[in-house]
Amino acid sequence: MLQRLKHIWNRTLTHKSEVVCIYAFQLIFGLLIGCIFYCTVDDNLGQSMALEHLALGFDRTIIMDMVNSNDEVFSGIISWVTILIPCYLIISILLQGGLLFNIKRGEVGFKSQIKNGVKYLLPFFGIVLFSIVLVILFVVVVGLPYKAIVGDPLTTFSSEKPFVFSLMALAVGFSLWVVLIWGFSISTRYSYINGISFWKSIKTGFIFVKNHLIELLSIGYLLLGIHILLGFIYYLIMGDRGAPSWLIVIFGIVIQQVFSITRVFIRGFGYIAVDQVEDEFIG
Amino acid sequence: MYMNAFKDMKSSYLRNSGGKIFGRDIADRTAEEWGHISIDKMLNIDGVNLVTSAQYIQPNDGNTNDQSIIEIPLEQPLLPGETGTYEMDFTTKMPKTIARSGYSQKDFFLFVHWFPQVCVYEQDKHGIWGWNSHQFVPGTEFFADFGDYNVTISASDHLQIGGSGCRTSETKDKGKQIVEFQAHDIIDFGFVVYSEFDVYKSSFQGVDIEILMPPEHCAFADRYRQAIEHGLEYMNENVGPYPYPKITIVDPPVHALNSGFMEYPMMITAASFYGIPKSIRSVESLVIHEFVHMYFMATLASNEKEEAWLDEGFVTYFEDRITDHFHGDKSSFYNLLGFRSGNAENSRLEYTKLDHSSLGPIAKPGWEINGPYKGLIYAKTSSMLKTLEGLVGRPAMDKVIQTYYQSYKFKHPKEADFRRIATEVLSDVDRDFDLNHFFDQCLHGTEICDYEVLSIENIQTENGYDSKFIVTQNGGLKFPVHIEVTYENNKKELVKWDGAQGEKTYEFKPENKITAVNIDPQNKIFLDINFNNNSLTYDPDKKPILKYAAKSTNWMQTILEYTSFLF
Repeated sequence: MLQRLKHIWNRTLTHKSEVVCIYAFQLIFGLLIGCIFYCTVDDNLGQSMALEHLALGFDRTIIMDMVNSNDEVFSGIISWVTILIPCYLIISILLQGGLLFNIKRGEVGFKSQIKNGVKYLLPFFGIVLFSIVLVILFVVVVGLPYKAIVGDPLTTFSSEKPFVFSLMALAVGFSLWVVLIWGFSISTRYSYINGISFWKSIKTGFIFVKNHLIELLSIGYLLLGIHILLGFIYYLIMGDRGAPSWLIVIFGIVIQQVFSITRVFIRGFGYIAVDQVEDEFIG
Repeated sequence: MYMNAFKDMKSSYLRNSGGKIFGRDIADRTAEEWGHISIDKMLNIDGVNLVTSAQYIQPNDGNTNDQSIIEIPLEQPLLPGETGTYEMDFTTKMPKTIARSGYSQKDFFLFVHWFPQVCVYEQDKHGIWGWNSHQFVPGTEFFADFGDYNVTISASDHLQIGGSGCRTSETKDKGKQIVEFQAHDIIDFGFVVYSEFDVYKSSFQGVDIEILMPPEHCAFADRYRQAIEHGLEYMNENVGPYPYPKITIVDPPVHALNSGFMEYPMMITAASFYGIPKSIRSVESLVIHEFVHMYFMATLASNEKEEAWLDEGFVTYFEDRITDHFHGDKSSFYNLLGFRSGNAENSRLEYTKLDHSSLGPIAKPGWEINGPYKGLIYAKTSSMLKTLEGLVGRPAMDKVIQTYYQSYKFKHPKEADFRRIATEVLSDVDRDFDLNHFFDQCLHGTEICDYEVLSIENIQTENGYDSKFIVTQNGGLKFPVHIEVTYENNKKELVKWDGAQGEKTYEFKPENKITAVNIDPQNKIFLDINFNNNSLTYDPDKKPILKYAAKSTNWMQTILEYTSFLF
């Protein structure tokens, strides 16, 4: 098992330029928000000694006084976020599509990634939409009946424990479903890259998921576990250190970006893991 | 006759509720799910039934469908100094849990407002004696006189019973139990029964603590006990000895959550939910809040209908002090994943977030308050008291509260009583503000407080600098404050300002230029709605802005990575 994981990781590293390309796009979008955030806070607090308190760590009074005295203060940032996220998602189809192509065809480099990403943008957009519909299907088929059965949870149950546990079960069920859809989405795109038509690729995706439930769930939950672990480690390292010195601030920025790029590598790792399973399936 | 507020949707309490109480639908209740109370007979010493001439009255709103106040004329007037003895039979039908009182699943019953309560006979503000009788309407709570209670409860023996007062006897026989409670000098008596309660008993500083909670909340038992112990310790030390031998804490099951969040003499109802982590201390804050009501409501039994701020405001002030004392003033409310807030901080923000143009004064009857009840009555009052504490110092503030408590315990103090005590006690304290003006503007005014530093200017001269700075008070509240002036050589100087509305310019001829000006550097004026604009500096520390900008960059990257997992 370790050998297989190591092999997948080594393959992931060969696609580092594509991963860095995805990371760079995310960073550009992030920096846009960061700059707007900096200007907004600087306009509101830039000359205030309240910053000295903020340097000691999170201070709700400072944040809320800023929001209360100017309730529009973050509206600019929020509207930019709502514009940038859909834009990025479109670009993401292209970037991920290019990465998937390179993985499948054994090519490397961000030029090939961009070129083929553009080529597959439209069909992959369709696959994404189809996947989203499948996710929504869970909400309709499971979520709505659950809500109807539970009704007002505060009066339906004699204790909140069954409600809490049923919600947890629902969350586990949802995560199972989402992991499978994630596997389906990748497999379908691989099939399309292999020259299979759109609907046949969809069908192949379903068959792949059906035949590799355990493998997909193992990969999905492994990645999920790594993400949770990363979040925990990030919190342990960063916590709420405040900003007592430039060194601490720069250290924080470096750590944040290390975690950001690691997350994108994990995504690449997941793509290659699915490809590996698929190859073994085809083989 | 409080229970009649839950008779139907026509009562004054419910008719404007929009069919919801605490966010839960009530309009479609069946007849069985409503509650009511009636007096079957009230005999005087001669055996004459006085109920025959009784009538419901509606002194507040004239709603003839409201039966929360009944007037029972005596056969003969009771003259000053005379005593009358009356015997009453009454019937109460408990509603399905509505606003605290009522029944729920598995034989849960909270018996509060379950008996007819005599109104308080007292002098009004003009000195005229009469019954203080107000209907039970939204925005009001209760007002009653002190009494001694002997209550015998007969119930099935599968039920756990808790209540106001102390248990004096208990017998069980043939599936039935009879429990007797006794309590002295209390203004109300409530009790609870439930088949599922676990009971946790302990004792602290001579006070018996009894916690009744459903098994699924057992993780909170220790948190509740510790919260009560913190409350007892702090109030005993800073206000006065807890006046009763016992305190009962009821934690209702989730299906009776509407029974929570309330205070009765010697008994409080809290609220918790399975899984709330220890770092979210709203559970403890609530328990401490309701416990402090044993001082400001049960003992200092002010009129909660006419002057709600006298109990809720003082209680919030001490809730903040106690939780901040034991859990830190920046983390006593919650401290989770790097985000934290203190209790007093939270109270201030509940006030400062209000739409200030719509604020009314806090010293007005509950039925006249339309709008942010909690933000005004709880939060503005506690911020006002914390501001007063900032101006006179905590020892003097404690002396005011202690004297007020000692002077008016087991009485019905009013605003004038508190102001009189404060004026007397603070007459010895060196202060540069008019206390009457302080209370008038805070309690009866609608003005706000917002200090701001507008500018700093330094012009170099041969001998140093011609420096000036301009400050302003954007609101109408007037408190004296200190302004801290910092010079280039890091020397600091304090300047006094009366804090009056409008701009004020200060001019200096210092050797070193002024680099920073900070109004109220210790944030003593807690009513100030914006601390951020209290200061201006030439040498701002930009590190936190960069840090949070970098964080927002990273948050955006994280959002993009996770939202695009299917893309």
